[in-house]
Amino acid sequence: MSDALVSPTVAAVAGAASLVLLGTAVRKLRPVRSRLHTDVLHSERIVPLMGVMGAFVFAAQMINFAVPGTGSSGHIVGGILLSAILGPWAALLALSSVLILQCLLFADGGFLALGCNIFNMAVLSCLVAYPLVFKPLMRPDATPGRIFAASVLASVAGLELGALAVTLETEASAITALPIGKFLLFMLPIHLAIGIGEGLATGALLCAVRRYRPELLAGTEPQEQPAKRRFVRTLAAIAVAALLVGGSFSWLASSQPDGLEWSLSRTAGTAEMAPAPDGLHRTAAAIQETTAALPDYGTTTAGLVGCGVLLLAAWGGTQLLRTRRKRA
Amino acid sequence: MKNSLQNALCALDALERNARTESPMHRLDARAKLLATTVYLVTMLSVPLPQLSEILLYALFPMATATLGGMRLGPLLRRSLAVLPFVALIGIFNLLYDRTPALRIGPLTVTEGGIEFAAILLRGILSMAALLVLIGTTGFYALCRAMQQSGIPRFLTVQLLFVYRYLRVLLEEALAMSRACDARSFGRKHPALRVWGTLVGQLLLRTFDRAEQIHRAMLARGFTGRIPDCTAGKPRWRRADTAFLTGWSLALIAARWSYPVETLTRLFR
Amino acid sequence: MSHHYLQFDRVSYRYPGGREALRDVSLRITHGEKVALVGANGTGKSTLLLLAAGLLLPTDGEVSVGGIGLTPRTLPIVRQTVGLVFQNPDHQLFMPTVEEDVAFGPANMGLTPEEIEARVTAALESVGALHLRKESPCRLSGGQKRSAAIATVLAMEPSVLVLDEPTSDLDPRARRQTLELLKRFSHTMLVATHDMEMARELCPRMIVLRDGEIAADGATETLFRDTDLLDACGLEPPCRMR
Repeated sequence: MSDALVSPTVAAVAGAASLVLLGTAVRKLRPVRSRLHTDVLHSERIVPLMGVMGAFVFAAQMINFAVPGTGSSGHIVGGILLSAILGPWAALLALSSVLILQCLLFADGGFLALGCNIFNMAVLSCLVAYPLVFKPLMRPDATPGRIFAASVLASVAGLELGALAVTLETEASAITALPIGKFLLFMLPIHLAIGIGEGLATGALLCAVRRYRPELLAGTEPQEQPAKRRFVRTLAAIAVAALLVGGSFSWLASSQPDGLEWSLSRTAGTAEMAPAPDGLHRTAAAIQETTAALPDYGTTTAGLVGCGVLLLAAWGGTQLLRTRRKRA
Repeated sequence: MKNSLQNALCALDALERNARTESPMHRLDARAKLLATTVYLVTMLSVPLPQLSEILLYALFPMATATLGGMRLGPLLRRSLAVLPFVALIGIFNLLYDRTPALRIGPLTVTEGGIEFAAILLRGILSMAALLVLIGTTGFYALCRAMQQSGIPRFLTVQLLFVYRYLRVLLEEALAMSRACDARSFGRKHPALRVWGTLVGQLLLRTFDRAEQIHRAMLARGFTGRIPDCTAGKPRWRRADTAFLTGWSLALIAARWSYPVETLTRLFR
Repeated sequence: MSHHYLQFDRVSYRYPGGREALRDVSLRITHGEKVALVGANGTGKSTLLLLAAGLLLPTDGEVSVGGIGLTPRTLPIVRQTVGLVFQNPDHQLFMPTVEEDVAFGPANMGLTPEEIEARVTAALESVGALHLRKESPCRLSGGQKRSAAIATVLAMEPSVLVLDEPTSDLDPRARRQTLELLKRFSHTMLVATHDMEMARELCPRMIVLRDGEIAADGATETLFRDTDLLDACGLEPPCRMR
């Protein structure tokens, strides 16, 4: 999800929803005043686990981008892996922190879209795909086959839901004139492929963890259901539908780094639509006109040259300052 | 693989080493630096893509702060370039699909997509540079503490601190395992796919074991989930901090509002 | 004072994975005593230390420190009273400089900056590491790290010191320095170790663990003469006594 596609309204709604859920997660993880010794130490133990898993997912997402040749495409979300080990709420927190960190480090997508990204990737995989698909399929004595199946199905479900959410958000933002049907047609199969890959990797890791340290896996005890039950059930129905649709159009997209941009370019025919004016910073009309229309590129060249000269001068100044300080 | 792991570790080391030196930037309160960098990121990243020259102007902030902080610009630029592969993948489609010609430089035609692509790359480099200066003159611990003091919820600040700390542990364990793997691979470049799952699983578990020990050590010394202030007796917020923050914020916001490069060049034409 | 400072009453501990580490362990350590805890690897020494420091809660039985029973509510107090020095100083030193590391404990206790400064100076002085204040922990030698780690614990002014293999991985000089340092302290001490020489030099009393249970508890010299016991527990007496 990138800034260019989302309107401030949609971003605000998604951001608010994400915030509410994050707040709930924080409250759920606060140390419990209970007589059960295990509860207190569990809530203490989960902190380093969250940190480690966060680091792991962060590293994994970076490696993903840096090795396109192996056929890995798109964003590994890691929501199912995190949820299986940390439980859904802690996983939500860990994954959100990774997304925020990435947003800051790589200017990836932008701030506006952060709320959407957290919702599409973290919330949908940890709070929807995990409890509805993964947990019901898992048993404490599950065979590796079952673990793999559950991982793949849950990952695909999570990613397809995310793809669906992106489509709906784009549609609701009404910034582009993309036909929603065609968009879906391209988004879903790509994310199906990504989901299968991620599911297999998740399954392999969970099998390894289960073999050596089974107590690290969050148990399969019944958990209290989130308040919005009916909404969740509707989403589940959509997820199943998405799976079917995506499944019947599946083909592998081998070297497309990001499913979203690829779908966009195919559907729109040309590129990126004209960059969306930065709505949050609308001010005086004259300047705005300059922003909204494509700028006069003659000025741009001059501007670039002028800027370059200025920077060169600045650089010269910094070198002078350095030498002066060294001498001092 | 080993080299990139080693490089990543060295880069982290260098950052932390930088943070322990002395300079005017180092003496500033962490919160001032954090807020100024935030203003910088917000203003810079909100500039619309085609305004390449405006974005270029924003390079002044990391240049100035790095020099004030005693960091050399060459290595800073080099490290900021690390972000290029990721950012390039985001921007590549602008380049490939937006073929509307925008301007000609001699025999070359630069497309709008090309300009946008360059802008995306530039934004990435500049934000990375600003963050590197921030971490290099503050230290990650102090930074997380500053975030906590600024009201950012604990779950994020503590989690960030731990992710950073355990990322190091993860890298060290990965390096150790990859060396051990090499010692028994007889020249084979990468381990078989079958082995990958077990290896990565082991990496995860070993990292967790070490992380748990470190966490226990923190608990044993009274860690309660709040990042404590370990800079006993160091000065708090001073006038210099206010000056730094307000000065840069005003400059950045003014630059964002008024498109100085564009207005100036128009004036001269 | 006759009350026992560190007391285990029929304590058992089972790890979440199912492994039983300690079974029905009872011991009493008096104020000011220095006790060595020995046993082959995997007999539960580290687990016992973690329980004593309030980092684990027993699955059965009761642990009490200074008369305070170990419960979820009393965890913070126990952790302050008992200082645990980990086997690996790299786990214990996690701040950018030694000074900040030593300050971490007192800072968590909510002391004023002046008090923190005083404690840091005192702790570093008592281990002879005042000159290492501004150093980064990763650049220290093994012995220096060990001293710094001990300082981080001392800064909390605990009444009981619990140490996990303090002389492991040290070269002979560093080992001697650490040993002399520990001899100077007047805290109640429980030291888990494989270093039998150190046990004999430092601790008049020794507890031997075997398979998660206490096999023997008595005067160090006497126990070292019981070769059958040592054999059965996978131990050897120190060189000078063979």
